[in-house]
Amino acid sequence: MAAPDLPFEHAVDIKKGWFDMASLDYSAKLGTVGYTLPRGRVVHLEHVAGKEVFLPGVRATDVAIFLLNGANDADVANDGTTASGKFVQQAISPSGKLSGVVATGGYEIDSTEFDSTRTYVAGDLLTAHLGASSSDAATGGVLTNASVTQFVTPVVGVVSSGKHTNHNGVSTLSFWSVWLPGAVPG
Amino acid sequence: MPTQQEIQLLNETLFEQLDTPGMQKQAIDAVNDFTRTKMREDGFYRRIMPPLTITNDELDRQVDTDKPVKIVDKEPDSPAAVSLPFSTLPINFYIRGPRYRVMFDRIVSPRAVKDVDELRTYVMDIRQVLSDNMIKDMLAEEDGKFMAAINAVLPTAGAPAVGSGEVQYEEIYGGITRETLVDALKIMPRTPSHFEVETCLVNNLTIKELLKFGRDEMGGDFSQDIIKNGWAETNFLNCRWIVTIKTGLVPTDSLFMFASPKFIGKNYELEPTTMYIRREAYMLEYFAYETTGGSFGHTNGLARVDFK
Repeated sequence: MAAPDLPFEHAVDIKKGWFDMASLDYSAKLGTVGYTLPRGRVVHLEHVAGKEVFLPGVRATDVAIFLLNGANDADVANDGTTASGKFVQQAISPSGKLSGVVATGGYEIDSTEFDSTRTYVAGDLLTAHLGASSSDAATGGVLTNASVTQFVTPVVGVVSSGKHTNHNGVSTLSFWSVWLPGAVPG
Repeated sequence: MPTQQEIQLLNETLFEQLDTPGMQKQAIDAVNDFTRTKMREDGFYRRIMPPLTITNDELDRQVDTDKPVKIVDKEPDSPAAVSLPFSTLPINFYIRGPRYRVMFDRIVSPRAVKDVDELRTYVMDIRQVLSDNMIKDMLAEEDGKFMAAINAVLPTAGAPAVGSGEVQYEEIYGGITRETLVDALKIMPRTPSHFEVETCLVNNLTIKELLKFGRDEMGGDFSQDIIKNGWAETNFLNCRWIVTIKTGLVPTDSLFMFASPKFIGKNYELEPTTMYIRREAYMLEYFAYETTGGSFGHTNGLARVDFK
């Protein structure tokens, strides 16, 4: 049996700017990703086979979306077969859609999904790497300030109060969401 | 059918309720009555698997999420009885009952915004205008999720279903005739569960093939009735027939068959369809929402045929 996940172990807290009826959020199903994408990861919107899907990280001009739901959340997925393929149930709901806040909105965000080995100071630019294969599980859509060059690397946020341990004992990074397109993928 | 004078009176009443502090709830209730009735009449998902109201007390708490989840027990299988000679004891089997989870999400309509002074110029029943488009959107979403789940269970014609190991999605050649229809009804009872078809779902184009049945195929005056009056929802082949206009969800010349809902799964309604209406100064906004959860716990009560 898989180890349980705590609701705050992977998450974003929107410190400012959400929830409000005018908040800029977006919902779509997840594209083909070879790992279980947790809450808080950065995704972008892409059209695959004519359908809108989220995929981790950002390409040069993608607007970042910070996931409020993880791929395995109870209001997103209800997988219906065992590891060996035995039938348990087939979900009619939920529909598989995830939701997230869009980086062009005016948010201050506190996220668990960042490279915690790095040092962050206010004003640091953040990006999020692409990566949908199983080997990208630790880095796909994870925030980092490593090798971020203004106007070259797509920027998804600017560090505000930085890295700290939140009230749940989880290491998080506080930043403001921005959208600054780059010339190369994140 | 209300008169135009009555409709204007209804509209004025709605505005008065929205104008009076604390009266928004009554305005919402006025729309809700209508909304719920339309939903039951029009959504085929709700007619095939009628929603069961579920309360907070009936939800099952989970360690790793605070989102609503309901766990439903399934009837367990048991080893078959055997004949034995004397002085022999039966084998043991440890009781293990399977379960399945029903999870929930919300369906919302788009949120409409309008200047109330522009609404004053309508002479139609404004409550119906406010809710009709939203209901259509929500019904389409409900039915779409239902059909997506069926298509996940029965993805390919001729392939055995995961649950039963039997083919529950077949292509039958020869068009829609008395013979091919009866052959279609044999698919579900062939599974180990031996369910009989209770409900058939077709689109409004497929059903017209049945109008072609002559007296010798359809049987006496029934043939005369449908050629004269068209198809009305009725029992036919000892099944309830539901006809939908959603041809994007139910393809033409396809027949979806369902056993009694108690053999299929659960459709829970945690938050019934609710119309949220708010007026701020002269701007009116409204949208509808509901929270439902559904799962097929057992798939032997589902079958599909494509007539070729």
